[in-house]
Amino acid sequence: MHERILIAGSGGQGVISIGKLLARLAAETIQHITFFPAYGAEVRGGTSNCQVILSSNEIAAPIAEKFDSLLVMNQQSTDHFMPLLDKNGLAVINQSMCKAHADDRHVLVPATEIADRLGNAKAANFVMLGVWLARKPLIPNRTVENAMATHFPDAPPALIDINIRAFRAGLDFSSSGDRKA
Amino acid sequence: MKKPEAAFFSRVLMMGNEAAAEGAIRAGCQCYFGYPITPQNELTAYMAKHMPERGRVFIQAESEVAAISMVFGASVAGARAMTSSSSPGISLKQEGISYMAGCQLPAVIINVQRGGPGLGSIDPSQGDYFQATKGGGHGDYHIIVLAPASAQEMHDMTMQAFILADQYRIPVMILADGRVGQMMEPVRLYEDSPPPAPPKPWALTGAKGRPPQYIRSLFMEERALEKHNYELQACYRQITATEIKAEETETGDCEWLIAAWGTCARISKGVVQKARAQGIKAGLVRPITLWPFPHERLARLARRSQVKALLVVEMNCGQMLEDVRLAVNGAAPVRFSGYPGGRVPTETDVLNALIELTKTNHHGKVEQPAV
Repeated sequence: MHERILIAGSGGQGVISIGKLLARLAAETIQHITFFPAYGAEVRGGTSNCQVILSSNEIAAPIAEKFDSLLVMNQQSTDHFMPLLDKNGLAVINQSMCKAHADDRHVLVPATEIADRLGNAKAANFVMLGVWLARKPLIPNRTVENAMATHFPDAPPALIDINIRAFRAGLDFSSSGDRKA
Repeated sequence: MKKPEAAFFSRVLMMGNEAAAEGAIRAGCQCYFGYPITPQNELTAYMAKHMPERGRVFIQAESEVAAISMVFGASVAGARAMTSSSSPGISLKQEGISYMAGCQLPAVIINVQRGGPGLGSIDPSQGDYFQATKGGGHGDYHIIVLAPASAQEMHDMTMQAFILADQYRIPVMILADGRVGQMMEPVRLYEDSPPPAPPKPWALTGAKGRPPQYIRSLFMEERALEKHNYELQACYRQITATEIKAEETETGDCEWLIAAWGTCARISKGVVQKARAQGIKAGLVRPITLWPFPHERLARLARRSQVKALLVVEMNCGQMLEDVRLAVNGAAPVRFSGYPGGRVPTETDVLNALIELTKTNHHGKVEQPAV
């Protein structure tokens, strides 16, 4: 197993949060992991992204050139990173904020709208994570839900509750039928 | 290098910067002095939180010069002390490093390199190789330089740095880069008690029950400085004889030998596998100690009859390249693939440079420093 994941969006959309959560939880069962947040000049323009590599073998180059999974949350990230999707890859695209051309590899999900209906548009990142994890079950869903409170110890219980519901909505979205573009 | 007897238990996901900080704490570092700069801020922040919790000293100094001078003061009193910064800040510390080298004081200095010269950029770089390995400050001295390539090595090498610093009474530098510092990876933490420090009869502890003594780097008496410098050189010879460390990958039958350190070595490791899958017999030699440098190892590898050429890969315009050339001394052509703009090369970049090298017709001793 060698999964190269890139999560990208605007600053404040929580892309680093779910990237870190994913890496932390994966560390319980997967031997080799790298998590790299973009911290350079590109971040200062308002976009944010992180790379997570999960592997059963030693990770030599900690930078991927192509990605098996892309989670993109805004238009700028979609335009910038979609060319890096592997030919057998999977892109989860936040349809609420991005346009993308039809492609078998794309899953369009109105993540911001779903999260907004649940009470907080900021939980869109967890909708995205749910959609992705339903299709790439690399860590158990239960682990993610259980970790919410411990991983974000300063978050108020109401917010954690919305995050969990957003995550479940993402899982349901994937299982409720094929909504590929 | 002696490895502390360790029992590894906990496996946690940590940033390289944090792993180094935790390594220092577990090595028994008593004092940390620093000043913020990207991309090493997490190290300072980690120490700010965790050193006071353990009743140890954390001071955010008013400048890098102040921080290194505080390290000097703590070390002269016998404490295990360290500082960390990134390239521009390390330049400011050079006066203090030279003085500590002159005074034979142990200290640990972490440089999480960013672009240069000047303020450069905040992106990863390997542009401080010359500064770290060829002196940095004024005078005839060396410091030990270790080059980590992972969060685990940030942890382990920082611990090792304290041991070496005490053993040889010398400043030791961890030469990392923004990539290694910012990246998170699972780290197995050292779980034993800190490696014991050797007795430090030279330390200035108040002269209670003993005659006063002093530590200085100024030698005005006739030939005193000459004698002192010969003493330093004897220490450096001993370090060179015992502490050189390098890692080899697939060098047994290799025809095309990559030489790289830190992040570039890690990328090159992947390149070796990719090249071999294409039928190119590639290998990698990775210096882990940059000073002392594995000259003899490089020379031995380059002299093997099947080795056709070497490719040095660095995130700079060719710095370790000079040491590789000195070591190889014409035994094989040495080419260079450099990335000086803060961009971390991809496996494809390096693989293409290697493929290019294999296509070149090497009549004897070709060499080309082109970036």
